[in-house]
Amino acid sequence: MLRKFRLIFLFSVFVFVAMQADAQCFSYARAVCKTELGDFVHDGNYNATILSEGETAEIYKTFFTGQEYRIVVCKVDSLPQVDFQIIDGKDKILFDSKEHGGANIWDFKLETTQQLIIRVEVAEKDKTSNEKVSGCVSIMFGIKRE
Amino acid sequence: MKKLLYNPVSILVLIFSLAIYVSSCVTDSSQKKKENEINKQAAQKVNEKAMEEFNKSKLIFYSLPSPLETAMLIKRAGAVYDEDLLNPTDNINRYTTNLKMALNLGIYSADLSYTSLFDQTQRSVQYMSNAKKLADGLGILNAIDENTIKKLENNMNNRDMVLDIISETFMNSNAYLSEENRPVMAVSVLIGGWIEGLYIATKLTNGSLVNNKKLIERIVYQKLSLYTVMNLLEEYKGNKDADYLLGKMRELKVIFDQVKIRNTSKVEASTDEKNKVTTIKADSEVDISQEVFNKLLKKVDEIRTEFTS
Repeated sequence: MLRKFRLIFLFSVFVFVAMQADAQCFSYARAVCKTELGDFVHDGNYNATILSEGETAEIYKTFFTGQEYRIVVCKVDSLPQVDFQIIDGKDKILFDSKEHGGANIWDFKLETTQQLIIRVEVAEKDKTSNEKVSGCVSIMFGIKRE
Repeated sequence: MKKLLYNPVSILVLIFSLAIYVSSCVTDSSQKKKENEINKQAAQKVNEKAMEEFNKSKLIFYSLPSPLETAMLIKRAGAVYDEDLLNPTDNINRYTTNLKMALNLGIYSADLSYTSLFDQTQRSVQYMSNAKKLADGLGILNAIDENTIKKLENNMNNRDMVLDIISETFMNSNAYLSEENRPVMAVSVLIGGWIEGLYIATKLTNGSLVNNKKLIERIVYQKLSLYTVMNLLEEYKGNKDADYLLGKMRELKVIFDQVKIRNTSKVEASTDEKNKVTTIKADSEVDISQEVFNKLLKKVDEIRTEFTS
């Protein structure tokens, strides 16, 4: 009985702490990343998570013609370079931040509405290293104001 | 809004490791200083074995157009303001279950965005008050407080500021629900907002496929968003509310499946390096018959009525 209670307690503690980490990721996204949208209005969606070196995340989003979008990919300083690609439904790379000086802010216009994938990749500092760094990565979409 | 494919044991090990070592990214007033501190703290070393397991996983997010984006799409398509289409603010007392509160938080957020874009500021304040009540009812702490409403009232003539306030409150609710491990409620808010946008857009066509072709195009392309909605819901299959919503979305899919959208050329991109803008182009064809459009109008009306009743 006592063992069961201890297990439940331990589980609750680490779930709570993990949730705290997530909440802090939200604070980071709101306070740091959102400001990088500049004159574009944030769409209001929250896309942020903890990623580690070598990890990849993908966001599926429909981009509509007639809107101009700004994409901001930001990460905490401790993480190595984070690059992003824009990919169409046939896995064709339409934009690769590596080809544009590792830019983390870029604007996009669509002449036809398309569902696209934003692939975010965290580089690895040292592939042979046993230890990997993790941290908050946020992807924000802004829409050009009228 | 994420799908994580993983080994449950290793993810627990990883979460535990992260939970112990992660401190992240908080920033407030003394922003830069705190940013540095946060950045330092956000670095953590994790167990190699857990990391290897975790690297096998893949994170997938689905991003639906937010109520704000939907309202902007409608307005840019040349739509007009019609207050009769909005969910009356008096309906709020009907929403007592979590699901209804979440759906109508999305619906009122879409109405709030729509009224704001058309500078109906008094109505915007009323919709913001309703959004606050529903957010409070869902236990979303501090997403919308009295200061938010005051700020909105004080900036009534500054549309940019109003849009920023709406965007901020929506993000707060969305993030809170996601991070409090209530993803189905977070998805429900998004679906409520999305259905309301679709409802307003379809109603504004007056049932005609020819009156406003731009608006029709916006509606037709919601077929792509519907797939996003369904992918989001599929993640939570087995949850009563998610299953209910999935059922409704499947009814909509039956109709959207009869709408044809196809690229008739490859998708190409051209980049203006100086201005940091990439333009994405493709030729495409869309096809929707009047009969299918009528069915779509009827189904959207039916679902929206169910959500708001």
